[in-house]
Amino acid sequence: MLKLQWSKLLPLNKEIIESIPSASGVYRLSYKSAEGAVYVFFIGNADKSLKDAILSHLSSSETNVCIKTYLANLQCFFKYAEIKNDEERKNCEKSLYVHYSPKCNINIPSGNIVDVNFN
Amino acid sequence: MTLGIILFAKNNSIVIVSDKRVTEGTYSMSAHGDLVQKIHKVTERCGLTIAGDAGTATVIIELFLKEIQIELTKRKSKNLPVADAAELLRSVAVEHYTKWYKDMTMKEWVDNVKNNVIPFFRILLTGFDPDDKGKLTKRKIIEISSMRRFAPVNCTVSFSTIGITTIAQYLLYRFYTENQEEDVVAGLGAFCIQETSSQDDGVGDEFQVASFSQDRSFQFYDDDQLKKIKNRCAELKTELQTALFMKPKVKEE
Repeated sequence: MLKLQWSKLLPLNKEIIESIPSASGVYRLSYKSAEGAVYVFFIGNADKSLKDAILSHLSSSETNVCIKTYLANLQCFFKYAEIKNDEERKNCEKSLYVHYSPKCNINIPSGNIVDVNFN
Repeated sequence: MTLGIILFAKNNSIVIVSDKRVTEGTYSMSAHGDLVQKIHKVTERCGLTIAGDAGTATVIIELFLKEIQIELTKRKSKNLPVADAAELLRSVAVEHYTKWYKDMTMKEWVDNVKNNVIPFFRILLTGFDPDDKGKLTKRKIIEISSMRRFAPVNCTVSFSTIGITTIAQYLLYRFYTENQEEDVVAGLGAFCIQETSSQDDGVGDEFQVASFSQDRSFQFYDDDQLKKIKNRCAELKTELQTALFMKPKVKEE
Protein backbone atom coordinates (compact mmCIF):
# COMPACT_ATOMS: atom_id res chain seq x y z
CA MET A 1 0.00 0.00 0.00
CA LEU A 2 1.16 3.51 -0.86
CA LYS A 3 0.99 5.43 2.42
CA LEU A 4 0.42 9.14 1.87
CA GLN A 5 0.65 12.01 4.36
CA TRP A 6 -2.43 14.05 3.54
CA SER A 7 -2.71 17.66 4.64
CA LYS A 8 -5.75 18.89 6.58
CA LEU A 9 -8.74 20.10 4.57
CA LEU A 10 -7.74 23.71 3.80
CA PRO A 11 -9.78 26.64 2.44
CA LEU A 12 -8.95 27.26 -1.20
CA ASN A 13 -7.62 30.81 -1.03
CA LYS A 14 -4.41 32.48 -2.10
CA GLU A 15 -3.03 33.13 1.41
CA ILE A 16 -3.38 29.48 2.43
CA ILE A 17 -1.98 28.14 -0.84
CA GLU A 18 1.06 30.44 -0.53
CA SER A 19 1.93 28.63 2.70
CA ILE A 20 2.11 25.10 1.25
CA PRO A 21 5.29 23.45 -0.08
CA SER A 22 6.62 23.90 -3.59
CA ALA A 23 7.22 20.13 -3.80
CA SER A 24 5.60 17.74 -6.29
CA GLY A 25 2.53 15.76 -5.26
CA VAL A 26 -1.16 15.11 -5.76
CA TYR A 27 -4.09 17.21 -4.61
CA ARG A 28 -7.85 17.29 -4.71
CA LEU A 29 -10.27 20.21 -4.87
CA SER A 30 -13.59 19.95 -3.08
CA TYR A 31 -16.62 21.96 -1.98
CA LYS A 32 -18.79 21.97 1.10
CA SER A 33 -22.43 21.04 0.45
CA ALA A 34 -25.45 22.54 2.20
CA GLU A 35 -25.58 19.45 4.44
CA GLY A 36 -21.96 20.05 5.49
CA ALA A 37 -20.45 17.10 3.62
CA VAL A 38 -17.41 17.80 1.45
CA TYR A 39 -17.33 16.49 -2.14
CA VAL A 40 -14.33 16.24 -4.46
CA PHE A 41 -14.68 17.81 -7.89
CA PHE A 42 -11.09 17.70 -9.20
CA ILE A 43 -7.96 15.56 -8.79
CA GLY A 44 -4.63 17.13 -9.74
CA ASN A 45 -1.06 15.97 -10.26
CA ALA A 46 1.62 18.58 -9.61
CA ASP A 47 4.81 17.30 -11.20
CA LYS A 48 6.84 20.33 -10.10
CA SER A 49 5.12 22.42 -7.43
CA LEU A 50 1.91 21.82 -5.50
CA LYS A 51 1.80 25.51 -4.63
CA ASP A 52 2.01 26.68 -8.27
CA ALA A 53 -0.40 24.01 -9.54
CA ILE A 54 -3.10 24.85 -7.00
CA LEU A 55 -2.56 28.61 -7.34
CA SER A 56 -3.03 28.31 -11.11
CA HIS A 57 -6.66 27.28 -10.53
CA LEU A 58 -7.33 30.67 -8.94
CA SER A 59 -5.64 32.66 -11.71
CA SER A 60 -7.39 34.21 -14.70
CA SER A 61 -5.47 31.81 -16.95
CA GLU A 62 -7.44 28.81 -15.60
CA THR A 63 -9.00 27.21 -18.68
CA ASN A 64 -11.07 24.50 -17.00
CA VAL A 65 -14.58 26.04 -17.08
CA CYS A 66 -15.92 23.37 -14.74
CA ILE A 67 -13.38 24.30 -12.02
CA LYS A 68 -14.06 28.00 -12.58
CA THR A 69 -17.78 27.41 -12.07
CA TYR A 70 -17.25 25.58 -8.78
CA LEU A 71 -14.86 28.27 -7.53
CA ALA A 72 -17.28 31.05 -8.50
CA ASN A 73 -20.36 29.51 -6.89
CA LEU A 74 -19.25 27.51 -3.86
CA GLN A 75 -17.05 27.51 -0.78
CA CYS A 76 -14.08 25.38 -1.92
CA PHE A 77 -11.29 23.49 -0.16
CA PHE A 78 -8.24 21.39 -0.98
CA LYS A 79 -6.04 18.64 0.40
CA TYR A 80 -2.61 17.66 -0.83
CA ALA A 81 0.05 14.99 -0.33
CA GLU A 82 3.69 15.23 -1.37
CA ILE A 83 4.97 12.46 -3.69
CA LYS A 84 8.41 12.74 -5.30
CA ASN A 85 8.39 9.62 -7.48
CA ASP A 86 6.78 10.24 -10.92
CA GLU A 87 5.25 6.80 -11.32
CA GLU A 88 3.88 6.71 -7.78
CA ARG A 89 2.34 10.13 -8.31
CA LYS A 90 0.64 9.09 -11.57
CA ASN A 91 -0.65 5.88 -9.98
CA CYS A 92 -1.92 7.81 -7.04
CA GLU A 93 -3.66 10.35 -9.29
CA LYS A 94 -5.39 7.52 -11.16
CA SER A 95 -6.47 5.81 -7.93
CA LEU A 96 -7.91 9.05 -6.54
CA TYR A 97 -9.68 9.69 -9.85
CA VAL A 98 -11.30 6.24 -9.80
CA HIS A 99 -12.27 6.60 -6.14
CA TYR A 100 -13.79 10.10 -6.29
CA SER A 101 -15.01 10.20 -9.91
CA PRO A 102 -14.48 13.99 -9.95
CA LYS A 103 -16.71 16.10 -12.17
CA CYS A 104 -14.03 18.46 -13.50
CA ASN A 105 -11.23 16.11 -14.67
CA ILE A 106 -11.32 16.40 -18.44
CA ASN A 107 -8.73 13.67 -19.14
CA ILE A 108 -8.44 10.23 -17.60
CA PRO A 109 -5.13 9.98 -15.70
CA SER A 110 -2.67 7.55 -17.25
CA GLY A 111 -1.37 5.68 -14.18
CA ASN A 112 -2.36 2.33 -12.70
CA ILE A 113 -4.77 1.79 -9.86
CA VAL A 114 -2.91 1.14 -6.62
CA ASP A 115 -3.89 0.69 -3.01
CA VAL A 116 -3.70 4.13 -1.39
CA ASN A 117 -5.04 5.88 1.70
CA PHE A 118 -7.48 8.77 1.07
CA ASN A 119 -7.12 10.58 4.39
CA MET B 1 -42.65 43.14 -8.54
CA THR B 2 -42.61 39.78 -6.85
CA LEU B 3 -42.28 36.06 -7.09
CA GLY B 4 -44.29 34.03 -4.59
CA ILE B 5 -44.53 30.25 -4.68
CA ILE B 6 -46.53 27.68 -2.74
CA LEU B 7 -45.55 24.00 -3.02
CA PHE B 8 -46.75 20.78 -1.46
CA ALA B 9 -44.10 18.47 0.00
CA LYS B 10 -43.83 15.07 1.65
CA ASN B 11 -45.79 14.22 4.83
CA ASN B 12 -48.70 16.51 3.94
CA SER B 13 -46.56 19.62 4.41
CA ILE B 14 -46.87 22.95 2.60
CA VAL B 15 -44.00 25.32 1.81
CA ILE B 16 -44.38 29.03 1.02
CA VAL B 17 -41.44 30.88 -0.55
CA SER B 18 -41.32 34.51 -1.59
CA ASP B 19 -38.82 37.21 -2.46
CA LYS B 20 -38.77 40.41 -0.37
CA ARG B 21 -38.33 43.01 -3.11
CA VAL B 22 -40.10 46.33 -3.20
CA THR B 23 -39.79 48.33 -6.42
CA GLU B 24 -40.44 52.03 -6.87
CA GLY B 25 -40.37 53.83 -10.20
CA THR B 26 -40.96 53.17 -13.86
CA TYR B 27 -39.69 50.64 -16.40
CA SER B 28 -36.93 53.04 -17.48
CA MET B 29 -35.82 54.00 -13.96
CA SER B 30 -36.58 52.13 -10.79
CA ALA B 31 -35.18 51.63 -7.29
CA HIS B 32 -35.25 48.41 -5.31
CA GLY B 33 -35.10 47.25 -1.72
CA ASP B 34 -35.36 43.76 -0.26
CA LEU B 35 -37.46 44.65 2.76
CA VAL B 36 -41.03 43.52 2.35
CA GLN B 37 -42.74 40.77 4.30
CA LYS B 38 -44.79 39.01 1.63
CA ILE B 39 -45.62 35.83 3.54
CA HIS B 40 -48.24 36.03 6.28
CA LYS B 41 -49.43 33.52 8.83
CA VAL B 42 -53.24 33.22 8.87
CA THR B 43 -53.61 30.41 11.42
CA GLU B 44 -51.33 27.60 12.63
CA ARG B 45 -52.39 25.62 9.54
CA CYS B 46 -52.93 28.37 6.98
CA GLY B 47 -50.71 30.97 5.30
CA LEU B 48 -50.57 33.27 2.33
CA THR B 49 -48.24 35.17 0.05
CA ILE B 50 -48.91 38.38 -1.89
CA ALA B 51 -47.96 39.98 -5.21
CA GLY B 52 -48.83 43.36 -6.67
CA ASP B 53 -49.62 46.50 -4.69
CA ALA B 54 -48.08 45.42 -1.38
CA GLY B 55 -49.37 48.47 0.54
CA THR B 56 -53.02 47.86 -0.30
CA ALA B 57 -52.65 44.09 0.07
CA THR B 58 -51.16 44.53 3.54
CA VAL B 59 -54.07 46.75 4.67
CA ILE B 60 -56.58 44.17 3.43
CA ILE B 61 -54.61 41.35 5.08
CA GLU B 62 -54.55 43.15 8.44
CA LEU B 63 -58.34 43.55 8.27
CA PHE B 64 -58.70 39.93 7.17
CA LEU B 65 -56.53 38.62 10.03
CA LYS B 66 -58.74 40.47 12.54
CA GLU B 67 -61.80 38.80 11.01
CA ILE B 68 -60.02 35.43 11.18
CA GLN B 69 -59.46 35.88 14.93
CA ILE B 70 -63.15 36.72 15.42
CA GLU B 71 -64.13 33.65 13.37
CA LEU B 72 -61.79 31.35 15.34
CA THR B 73 -63.22 32.66 18.60
CA LYS B 74 -66.76 32.07 17.33
CA ARG B 75 -65.89 28.52 16.31
CA LYS B 76 -63.82 27.90 19.45
CA SER B 77 -61.11 26.50 17.22
CA LYS B 78 -57.46 27.21 16.37
CA ASN B 79 -57.97 26.46 12.68
CA LEU B 80 -60.54 26.75 9.96
CA PRO B 81 -60.86 25.27 6.47
CA VAL B 82 -58.87 27.16 3.86
CA ALA B 83 -61.99 27.52 1.69
CA ASP B 84 -63.71 29.34 4.58
CA ALA B 85 -60.64 31.56 5.04
CA ALA B 86 -60.72 32.37 1.31
CA GLU B 87 -64.38 33.35 1.49
CA LEU B 88 -63.67 35.56 4.51
CA LEU B 89 -60.80 37.21 2.63
CA ARG B 90 -63.02 37.81 -0.40
CA SER B 91 -65.72 39.31 1.76
CA VAL B 92 -63.30 41.65 3.62
CA ALA B 93 -61.58 42.74 0.40
CA VAL B 94 -64.80 43.42 -1.54
CA GLU B 95 -66.32 45.28 1.42
CA HIS B 96 -63.34 47.61 1.74
CA TYR B 97 -62.77 48.09 -1.98
CA THR B 98 -66.44 49.04 -2.29
CA LYS B 99 -66.13 51.42 0.68
CA TRP B 100 -62.96 53.02 -0.69
CA TYR B 101 -63.70 53.07 -4.42
CA LYS B 102 -67.57 52.98 -4.54
CA ASP B 103 -69.75 50.20 -5.89
CA MET B 104 -68.97 49.25 -9.50
CA THR B 105 -70.21 46.91 -12.16
CA MET B 106 -67.88 44.01 -12.89
CA LYS B 107 -66.82 45.66 -16.17
CA GLU B 108 -66.00 48.96 -14.42
CA TRP B 109 -64.14 47.05 -11.73
CA VAL B 110 -61.95 45.14 -14.21
CA ASP B 111 -61.32 48.26 -16.33
CA ASN B 112 -60.33 50.22 -13.23
CA VAL B 113 -57.89 47.53 -12.11
CA LYS B 114 -56.43 47.23 -15.63
CA ASN B 115 -56.02 51.01 -15.86
CA ASN B 116 -54.44 51.27 -12.39
CA VAL B 117 -57.38 53.35 -11.12
CA ILE B 118 -57.87 50.90 -8.27
CA PRO B 119 -54.98 48.80 -6.93
CA PHE B 120 -54.13 45.38 -8.32
CA PHE B 121 -52.86 42.59 -6.12
CA ARG B 122 -53.05 38.84 -5.94
CA ILE B 123 -52.92 36.47 -3.01
CA LEU B 124 -52.10 32.78 -2.86
CA LEU B 125 -53.79 31.33 0.19
CA THR B 126 -53.00 27.80 1.35
CA GLY B 127 -54.09 25.44 4.09
CA PHE B 128 -56.28 22.43 4.63
CA ASP B 129 -59.89 21.58 3.85
CA PRO B 130 -61.87 18.86 5.65
CA ASP B 131 -61.77 15.26 4.45
CA ASP B 132 -64.79 12.90 4.53
CA LYS B 133 -64.40 12.58 8.31
CA GLY B 134 -64.31 16.34 8.81
CA LYS B 135 -60.59 16.43 9.65
CA LEU B 136 -58.50 19.19 8.07
CA THR B 137 -56.20 17.00 5.96
CA LYS B 138 -56.80 17.99 2.32
CA ARG B 139 -54.19 20.49 1.15
CA LYS B 140 -55.40 23.26 -1.07
CA ILE B 141 -54.04 26.39 -2.75
CA ILE B 142 -56.51 29.17 -3.59
CA GLU B 143 -55.73 32.20 -5.71
CA ILE B 144 -57.53 35.46 -5.01
CA SER B 145 -57.06 38.43 -7.33
CA SER B 146 -58.41 41.97 -7.23
CA MET B 147 -58.83 41.60 -11.01
CA ARG B 148 -61.59 39.02 -10.47
CA ARG B 149 -63.19 40.95 -7.61
CA PHE B 150 -61.46 38.55 -5.17
CA ALA B 151 -63.45 35.49 -6.27
CA PRO B 152 -61.50 32.44 -5.01
CA VAL B 153 -59.99 30.14 -7.66
CA ASN B 154 -58.72 26.69 -6.70
CA CYS B 155 -55.30 25.68 -8.02
CA THR B 156 -55.51 22.26 -9.60
CA VAL B 157 -51.86 21.21 -9.29
CA SER B 158 -49.58 20.79 -6.27
CA PHE B 159 -47.88 24.14 -6.62
CA SER B 160 -48.75 27.65 -7.66
CA THR B 161 -46.88 30.85 -8.40
CA ILE B 162 -47.72 34.56 -8.49
CA GLY B 163 -45.79 37.55 -9.79
CA ILE B 164 -43.04 37.11 -12.39
CA THR B 165 -43.62 33.42 -12.88
CA THR B 166 -42.24 32.31 -16.26
CA ILE B 167 -38.86 30.93 -15.13
CA ALA B 168 -40.33 29.46 -11.94
CA GLN B 169 -43.11 27.73 -13.87
CA TYR B 170 -40.54 26.19 -16.23
CA LEU B 171 -38.28 25.01 -13.39
CA LEU B 172 -41.17 23.62 -11.38
CA TYR B 173 -42.75 21.74 -14.28
CA ARG B 174 -39.28 20.38 -15.06
CA PHE B 175 -37.99 19.40 -11.60
CA TYR B 176 -40.78 19.43 -9.00
CA THR B 177 -42.53 16.32 -7.78
CA GLU B 178 -45.03 16.38 -4.95
CA ASN B 179 -43.52 13.73 -2.71
CA GLN B 180 -40.12 15.30 -2.25
CA GLU B 181 -38.75 16.13 1.21
CA GLU B 182 -39.66 19.56 2.52
CA ASP B 183 -36.07 20.88 2.43
CA VAL B 184 -35.72 19.81 -1.21
CA VAL B 185 -38.98 21.54 -2.13
CA ALA B 186 -38.00 24.70 -0.20
CA GLY B 187 -34.62 24.65 -1.98
CA LEU B 188 -36.29 24.36 -5.38
CA GLY B 189 -38.66 27.23 -4.55
CA ALA B 190 -35.74 29.41 -3.44
CA PHE B 191 -33.80 28.41 -6.55
CA CYS B 192 -36.73 29.58 -8.70
CA ILE B 193 -36.54 32.97 -6.98
CA GLN B 194 -32.77 33.27 -7.36
CA GLU B 195 -32.86 32.22 -11.03
CA THR B 196 -35.67 34.72 -11.75
CA SER B 197 -33.76 37.40 -9.85
CA SER B 198 -30.67 36.72 -12.00
CA GLN B 199 -32.76 37.56 -15.10
CA ASP B 200 -35.21 40.18 -13.84
CA ASP B 201 -34.48 43.00 -11.38
CA GLY B 202 -38.15 43.00 -10.37
CA VAL B 203 -37.52 39.93 -8.22
CA GLY B 204 -34.96 40.10 -5.41
CA ASP B 205 -32.55 37.28 -4.60
CA GLU B 206 -33.27 37.64 -0.87
CA PHE B 207 -36.11 35.32 0.07
CA GLN B 208 -38.19 34.16 3.00
CA VAL B 209 -39.63 30.71 3.59
CA ALA B 210 -42.39 29.41 5.84
CA SER B 211 -43.91 25.97 6.19
CA PHE B 212 -46.49 23.97 8.09
CA SER B 213 -48.14 20.60 7.87
CA GLN B 214 -51.11 18.72 9.19
CA ASP B 215 -49.04 17.94 12.32
CA ARG B 216 -46.78 20.97 12.52
CA SER B 217 -47.64 24.63 13.11
CA PHE B 218 -46.87 27.48 10.75
CA GLN B 219 -43.25 28.55 11.14
CA PHE B 220 -40.90 30.92 9.34
CA TYR B 221 -37.44 29.51 8.53
CA ASP B 222 -34.69 30.97 10.72
CA ASP B 223 -31.37 32.40 9.49
CA ASP B 224 -29.55 29.04 9.73
CA GLN B 225 -32.22 27.29 7.66
CA LEU B 226 -32.14 30.09 5.07
CA LYS B 227 -28.33 29.92 4.91
CA LYS B 228 -28.52 26.19 4.26
CA ILE B 229 -31.05 26.75 1.48
CA LYS B 230 -28.84 29.45 -0.09
CA ASN B 231 -25.94 26.95 -0.08
CA ARG B 232 -28.18 24.35 -1.70
CA CYS B 233 -29.14 26.90 -4.38
CA ALA B 234 -25.45 27.55 -5.10
CA GLU B 235 -24.87 23.79 -5.42
CA LEU B 236 -27.87 23.35 -7.68
CA LYS B 237 -26.71 26.24 -9.87
CA THR B 238 -23.23 24.68 -10.09
CA GLU B 239 -24.63 21.23 -10.87
CA LEU B 240 -26.77 22.66 -13.68
CA GLN B 241 -23.97 24.83 -15.05
CA THR B 242 -21.59 21.87 -15.15
CA ALA B 243 -24.16 19.29 -16.25
CA LEU B 244 -23.26 19.64 -19.91
CA PHE B 245 -19.52 19.14 -19.37
CA MET B 246 -18.59 15.74 -20.74
CA LYS B 247 -17.05 13.26 -18.33
CA PRO B 248 -14.24 11.17 -19.85
CA LYS B 249 -15.57 7.90 -21.28
CA VAL B 250 -13.74 4.59 -21.10
CA LYS B 251 -13.91 2.30 -24.13
CA GLU B 252 -14.93 -1.31 -23.60
CA GLU B 253 -11.78 -2.54 -25.45
